[in-house]
Amino acid sequence: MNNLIKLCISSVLIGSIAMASTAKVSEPKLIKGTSIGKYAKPGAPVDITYTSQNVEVGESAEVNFDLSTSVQTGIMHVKIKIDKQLSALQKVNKNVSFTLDKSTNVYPLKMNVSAEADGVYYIKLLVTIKGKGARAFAVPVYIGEGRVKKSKVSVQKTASGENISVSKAVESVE
Amino acid sequence: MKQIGFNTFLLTLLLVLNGCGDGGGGSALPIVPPVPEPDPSHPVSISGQVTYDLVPAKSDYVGLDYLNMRRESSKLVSVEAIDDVNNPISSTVTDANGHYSLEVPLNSQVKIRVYAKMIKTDQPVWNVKVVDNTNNNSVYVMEGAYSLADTDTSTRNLHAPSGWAGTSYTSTRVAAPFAMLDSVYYSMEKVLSAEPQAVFSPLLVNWSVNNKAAPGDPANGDIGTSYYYDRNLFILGDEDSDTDEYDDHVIAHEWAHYYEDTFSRSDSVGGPHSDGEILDIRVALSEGWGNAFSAMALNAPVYFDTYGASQSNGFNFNVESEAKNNAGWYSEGSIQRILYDLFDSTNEGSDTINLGFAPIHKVFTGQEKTTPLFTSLFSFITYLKDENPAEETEIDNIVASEDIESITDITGSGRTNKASELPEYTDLVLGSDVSICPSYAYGTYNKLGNRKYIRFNISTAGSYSISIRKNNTVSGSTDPDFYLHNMSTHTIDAVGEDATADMETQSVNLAAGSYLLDVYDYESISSACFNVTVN
Repeated sequence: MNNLIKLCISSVLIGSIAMASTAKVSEPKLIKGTSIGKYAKPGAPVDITYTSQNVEVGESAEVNFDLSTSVQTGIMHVKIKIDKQLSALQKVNKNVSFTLDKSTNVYPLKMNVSAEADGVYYIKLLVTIKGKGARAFAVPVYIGEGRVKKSKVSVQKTASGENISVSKAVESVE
Repeated sequence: MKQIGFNTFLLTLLLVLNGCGDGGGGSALPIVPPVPEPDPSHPVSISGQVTYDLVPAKSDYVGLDYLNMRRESSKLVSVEAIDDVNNPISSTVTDANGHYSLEVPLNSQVKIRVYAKMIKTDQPVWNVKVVDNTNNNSVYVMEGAYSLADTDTSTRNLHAPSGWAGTSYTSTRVAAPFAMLDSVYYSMEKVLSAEPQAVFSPLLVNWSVNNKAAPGDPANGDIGTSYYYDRNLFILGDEDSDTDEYDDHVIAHEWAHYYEDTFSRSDSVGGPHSDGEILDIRVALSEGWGNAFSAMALNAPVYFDTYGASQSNGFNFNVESEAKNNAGWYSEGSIQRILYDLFDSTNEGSDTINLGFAPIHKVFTGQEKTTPLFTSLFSFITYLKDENPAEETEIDNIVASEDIESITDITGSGRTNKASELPEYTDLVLGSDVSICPSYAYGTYNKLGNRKYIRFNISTAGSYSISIRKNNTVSGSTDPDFYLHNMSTHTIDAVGEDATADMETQSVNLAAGSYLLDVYDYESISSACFNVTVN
């Protein structure tokens, strides 16, 4: 490799690093969501309200979620699972318990995460209250542009124009 | 441009290959008989069975039992024979055992395609499709391979595999859409038992392996949870978190909400709910009905919902015999037990009646649908007794077993259990204030006392102003909102959800008739009261 090529590659790398640092969003966009007021299958009477920072690749995103319940006694167990592409920036207790009482109905959780590639990743919670069932939640974390992974199954059109998603059957021919 | 048929192409290819020898006698390719052309004048029958992998719950209803996965027939699903240029040349539907039979031209190259949809256009009518909401709402289909239609290939059985490989799903979950269709089939069958010529409104079942428990955009798979809304079921498919395709009670429960929407009526506001909660009367009826219907339709009284790593966890309850927890007219648990006892043929304790499904269906599709107040256990039982006077005592006995005094009218008057918390229908005179104070003793959003009901009449059509203003001093900003129900058309004619603090005002054009206002504070501020006026 001659020196000119080395110089060009170095320039590209330096340029890329510079671009990466200047491409940071000055103020992270805040993604908000809630399950309150939505139709829901039977399960633990728990709602979630969350805020999740949309940050650049490699940056720390703060994710806050409030679990709210009308149940005033017992224990609410929360099992936390983070998508493997997301890194928790502090040690995360993956099994959290809240003692429920009359004085509050909101139970907050907070964590900081980052990812090394653009995309949408999820922090998943499984909330159970003994005698009341369970409820799963997922909180999206948008990194970079937050491109959603598209289905690998290609859509075909039938002769009548209907979109179909085709899978192979196990077929026996006799 | 005329397309060349696959057979013609194959025949030409074989002839060309056959002519590619070196001319010597020893190395010539063997003579292959020519492939015959399709003969439309001689149809040949292709038949077979369509099945899918059904993954049941474990015997204790906690988790899915992949070890006892079994083949189940796909009922009433659409089947097509597809020719070599991808056009359907014959179509049919499977019977109740998954069997189908098609006729195609002899010697045609065809494959069999099975759609995850049930469609029937003459009465009884239905139109149910399972689509991938994260992939252009494409209908799930499975296909066999192309082969020549002759007497040697007259049986083609197609099976949808689960994709499970012992510890995880490693291939396409082909069976899932067909499993959900089966739950819908049993739900429709229950209605058809009472109304054989029923016309079912179109229903889309939105399912994807990407459907996660994140509130957001369903096109990205962020559906929040499994639920029904506006002729769509949204069903979770997130492996190791929550999948519902094999949780047939969840499917049937949500289908029961489709039933309320299309055959009957529900004024439920939705929201999270479970047995033991003290719910808004509309929510309690709707969810109790959903639980009871799932047991009726599936002929299985244990409701279960699986979730967790490898779908190995879950919760369940017995729709008929679960221990009572805060029994009463506000309890979905009480209502599910009442409805199931009215229906089932097993009599025990205070249950000495066996009405079956038809009388329940008649009330839901008749008087309950047009009740002039909100839908509740009060209206349902009042009408059920009205239509079944000979069974009044038996109905009262079942109701009484849930700590509910005899129901004699649709307002629920005569309560002894939480009598002071019976929702009042406060009458409002146009131009005058009424004061209401929501309460949060049992939680927020959809619990008893969160919402206040106000009724008024409009004698002259025109523009009216609806105003809700906080009328006392409390800590924190309130956000009063409303839903305006037209009790003549049973539609929601206006929604006031402005975020302005402590007040909500809106001008609406109203036709003459009676109306119900459902007023609530989005912020659920304790002790806040509001003046409501309509001018």
